[in-house]
Amino acid sequence: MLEVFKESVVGMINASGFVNVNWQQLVMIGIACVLAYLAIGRGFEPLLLLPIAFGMLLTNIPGGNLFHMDFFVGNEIDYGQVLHDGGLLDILYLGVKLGIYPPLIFLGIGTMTDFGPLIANPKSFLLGAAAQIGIFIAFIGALLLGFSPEEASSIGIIGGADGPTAILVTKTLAPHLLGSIAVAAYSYMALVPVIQPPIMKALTSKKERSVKMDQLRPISRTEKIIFPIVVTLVVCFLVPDATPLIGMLMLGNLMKESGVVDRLVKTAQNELMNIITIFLGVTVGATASYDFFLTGKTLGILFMGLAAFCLGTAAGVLFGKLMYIMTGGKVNPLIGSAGVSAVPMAARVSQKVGSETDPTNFLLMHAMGPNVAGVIGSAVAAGVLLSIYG
Amino acid sequence: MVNWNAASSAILAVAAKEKVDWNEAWGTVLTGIVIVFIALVALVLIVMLFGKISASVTEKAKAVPAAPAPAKPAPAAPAPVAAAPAAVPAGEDMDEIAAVITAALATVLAGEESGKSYVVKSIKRVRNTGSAWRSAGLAENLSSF
Repeated sequence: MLEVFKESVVGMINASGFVNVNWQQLVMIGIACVLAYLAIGRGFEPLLLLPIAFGMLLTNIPGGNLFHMDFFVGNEIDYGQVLHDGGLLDILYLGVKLGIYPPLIFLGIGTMTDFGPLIANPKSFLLGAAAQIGIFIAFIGALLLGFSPEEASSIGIIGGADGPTAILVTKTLAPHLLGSIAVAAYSYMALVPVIQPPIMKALTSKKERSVKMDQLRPISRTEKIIFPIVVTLVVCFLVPDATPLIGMLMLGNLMKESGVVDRLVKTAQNELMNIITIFLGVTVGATASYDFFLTGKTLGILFMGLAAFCLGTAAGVLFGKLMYIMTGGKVNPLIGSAGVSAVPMAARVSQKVGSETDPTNFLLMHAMGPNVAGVIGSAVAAGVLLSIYG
Repeated sequence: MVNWNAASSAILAVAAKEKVDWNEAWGTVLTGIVIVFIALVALVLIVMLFGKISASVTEKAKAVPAAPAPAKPAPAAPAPVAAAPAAVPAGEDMDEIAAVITAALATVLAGEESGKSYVVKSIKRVRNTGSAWRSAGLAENLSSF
């Protein structure tokens, strides 16, 4: 009897994490705890960063077998093996791998987005386009750092400041980098109020920052209903690869603006969005196992991701300056930085920097136009990258 | 157990691309920027066109039925603001409401740009959005925000 007891205890000890852990896993658990602190203690995008941090912690527990990244990298995925041998997070990760979660998140975002400021001032679309230039400059930068074109595309799209878009592109083009790219994208989005203002102030004069823009015209309900249909047709005909994101975004928006499916809208923006956020966060975090995350590439991703963000902001502000000149001083260039998406944080930053120069200046609604145009712009940029390298 | 060897060889397979084709890379950048701008410029034009159509339709609609809603001229400025609450007889509801709205407008507009005068030409009731049950449900859903 004692022999059996001894054997069982020895067996359990040998199978335990204490014996099998390596230092890299401990480092990753430490990083996961830091991210959890940033989410809880500092409020950095907690809705996503907290599940990401805990997914990262779970995947680095030795012998936990919740997630097997090796099932998903490579050209062919054996879905039978995933279903047969996969752990909980392997099964949930299928929603990322098959491109299901990001479009569903976009559905929820659509039900919460008001395109009114964009319809009232359609020129805002141009600022949303200009801010995407950062994606392509960072793409070249990543190539120079030695990343493959697929990896560089996934890194550049961090500059789109749109989590679901970055995840959709990365899971297709560079799944082994998903953890690092998601952490970089969400961290930088949380840091928008820190990253953007110095760039905005450096590129504009006090006179430009104090421009007061004309009040936006009121938008009819008919315009708001037709808008999502028109955008879907134009964008998806032009870039079919952007259809999952744009299609779902606009479906959500049409549901909201139609006013006839309140129950569905409530579900899409609350229950569905929350469930998908949990699944997406925890599985994306789980891809950050030590052998994929603790590499020199992660440092390169963090560096180029930040560069993409800064360049996108700068491109938006510079295009705003161009519009300031072309319109004879009617456009405040500060709204250009909101073109990087990161809704609504980037628009709030435009408002804050504008009101620092002139406390009576209210730029928020003007900045919401480029802000939501940025969501469309980054989805189009993602579609282009997917069509070339996907 | 996780097959780390297979995982690392898979990474190597992805990473072991041949040298960067700069021609293709710059082509990607050009395509990306041009397509993003084409898509969004197309949307600018369509939304502008749509805005113009919508504006002309609403103007026509205004011109045809000649606004039968209760009209109440009001020389705005601080003066009528004091007069309006005094002139509230216990009579017709619509007149009371019109007076209150006019007074409120006069206060706000006088505060924004003093010296200008305004005339309230018509006041229209906004379409009722639905039943009391629906309003109660909506209020419940929004109470958490």
